[in-house]
Amino acid sequence: MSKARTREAIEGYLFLLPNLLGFLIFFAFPLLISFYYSFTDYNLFTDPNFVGLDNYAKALGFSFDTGAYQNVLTQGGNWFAAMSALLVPNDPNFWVALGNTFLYALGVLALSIAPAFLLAWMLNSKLVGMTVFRALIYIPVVASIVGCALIWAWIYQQPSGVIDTVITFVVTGLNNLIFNAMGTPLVDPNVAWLTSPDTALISLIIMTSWSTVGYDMVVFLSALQGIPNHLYEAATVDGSSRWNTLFSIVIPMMTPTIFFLLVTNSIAALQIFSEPYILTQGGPANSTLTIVYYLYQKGFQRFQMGYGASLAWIVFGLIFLVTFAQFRFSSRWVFEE
Amino acid sequence: MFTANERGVIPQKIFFYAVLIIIGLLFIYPFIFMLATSFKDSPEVFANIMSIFGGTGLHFENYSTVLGTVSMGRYMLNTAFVTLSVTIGQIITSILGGYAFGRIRFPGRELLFRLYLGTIMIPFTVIMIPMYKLMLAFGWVDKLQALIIPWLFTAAGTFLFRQFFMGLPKELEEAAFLDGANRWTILWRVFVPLAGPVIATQFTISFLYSWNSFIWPLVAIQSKANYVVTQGLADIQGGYHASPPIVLAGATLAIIPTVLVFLFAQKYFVEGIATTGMKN
Repeated sequence: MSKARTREAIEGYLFLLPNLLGFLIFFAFPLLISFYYSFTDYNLFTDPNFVGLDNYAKALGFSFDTGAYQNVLTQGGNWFAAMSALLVPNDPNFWVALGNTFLYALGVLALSIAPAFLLAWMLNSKLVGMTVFRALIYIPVVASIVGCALIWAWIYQQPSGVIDTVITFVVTGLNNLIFNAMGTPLVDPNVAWLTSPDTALISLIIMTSWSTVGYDMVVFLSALQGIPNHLYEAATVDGSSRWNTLFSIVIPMMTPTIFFLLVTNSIAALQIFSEPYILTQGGPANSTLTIVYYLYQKGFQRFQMGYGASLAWIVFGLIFLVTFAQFRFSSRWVFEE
Repeated sequence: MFTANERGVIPQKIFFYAVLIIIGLLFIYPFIFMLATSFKDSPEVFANIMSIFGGTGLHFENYSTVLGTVSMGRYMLNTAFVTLSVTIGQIITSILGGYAFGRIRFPGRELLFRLYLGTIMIPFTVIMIPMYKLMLAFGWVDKLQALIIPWLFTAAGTFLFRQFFMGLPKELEEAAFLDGANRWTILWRVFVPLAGPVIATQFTISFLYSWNSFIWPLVAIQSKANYVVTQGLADIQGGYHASPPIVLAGATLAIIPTVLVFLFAQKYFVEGIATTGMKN
């Protein structure tokens, strides 16, 4: 290497140094240690012992209860019930958390991407005031999720929270208006949003979607603004209606954006922690226990740090698999120019 | 939906605005509810949770309770200190690293850069447990250092600045080299003054992330003197859960700074989304 090149290389390393030190000490090193811990029984207080794949087997493994399986069958239960009696998970809570996390992610994807697209399509109009609406819908994205959770705690509160109050108002009004006279008054459902296992997860999904829609909408808006004007003009000249243009031009051109949002929203949703921590503490009856919350419980409340580390790698594996699957199937429906 | 200069669609436009106003109100309602409740007293809230004004005037004392008795003032100072340190630190290390990756040739550059990019996908939860152990080893558990020093570098930010510096014309630094300037001077005198929009974008990303972060402070900080706002809120909720005005006055204080930054720097938030696509 010439003198100038050597000097350039040295300067390059020097400029990179602060950044690289941070990367090595606070990222690469913990990453390796985390992988090592996941194969140990580390508990913070004593030295870690190597336990091989035990942690992963504890989380992912099953044992078989053939007696219970036979019992269900002899009592006339169906095959599905028998199979669920046969498979006894080593850590049932892990599977509960995993199931909740998937439902949570699916719910958020469904309730944020489609509404966000409709909103972006509306706000892409050349009319006065669109930027104001865009800002309003985006505010929940920047607001602290912990702060928002406290607001929603009072919106969901039973029986005196905002939603139940509105429902009572509507039901009473309708009864006074019609149903009392008919002799069949409506019953106030008085929903226990956060305190019933049937509604707690969907309540959290609604809140998280509310705080995600604005983000998705802005991503859609910038994609919509990237559609060249001549496409719209050509469609208008051909006599295409507003709806026709939407379905045959706009939506196909949005598929890469939808794909991007599916990936980023799933990555975020698979790591949800703050909402269940603040609103439900994972309950009632573990119905809102998410995988990262479970990891927090195991690692930092019970100090099972080896097991916690293996859960962390399982979360990463999930994110990787979901992302990989989405990439794998994207060619079937994502429109590339 | 509507293109420019569409004529004869006045009824549709009125309907369109009506729908948008309803949707906008739905999105903003939780914040209206928060502000309204934070100025009432508890009996007023339980008498009519929907009312905007309680009827006995604005109860500013909720805010003095939250700032004083509940120490939210202290938590906000801690958070402001942490957030500003992290934000400024991330901008500086990203400028230096982005410049090195984007404009200086050195062996191993491409390999290192790919490693950096690969890490963007790995969630923080994966390294959280060893990070805690590391903080124990450094003696930083329960100290604000734990919330600052590990966060002074960002792979995504480094990437953002690299992309920007790579796009600048070569002539810029060649002219400066001929004038006898060295790389350090060129970076700060020539490149950084051009990077205003990128700095603003990175500022919004770092600020938002740091101000709102929750799980790591929850793990790393135990004594109330060093709490950040999100922890303070979780704490208020436990202690004052029968008193929504106090809880929501706390939420208001935690939410206002990021909303203000957003309202003043909207353009850069949008840019941040377009370039990195990250929220959490």
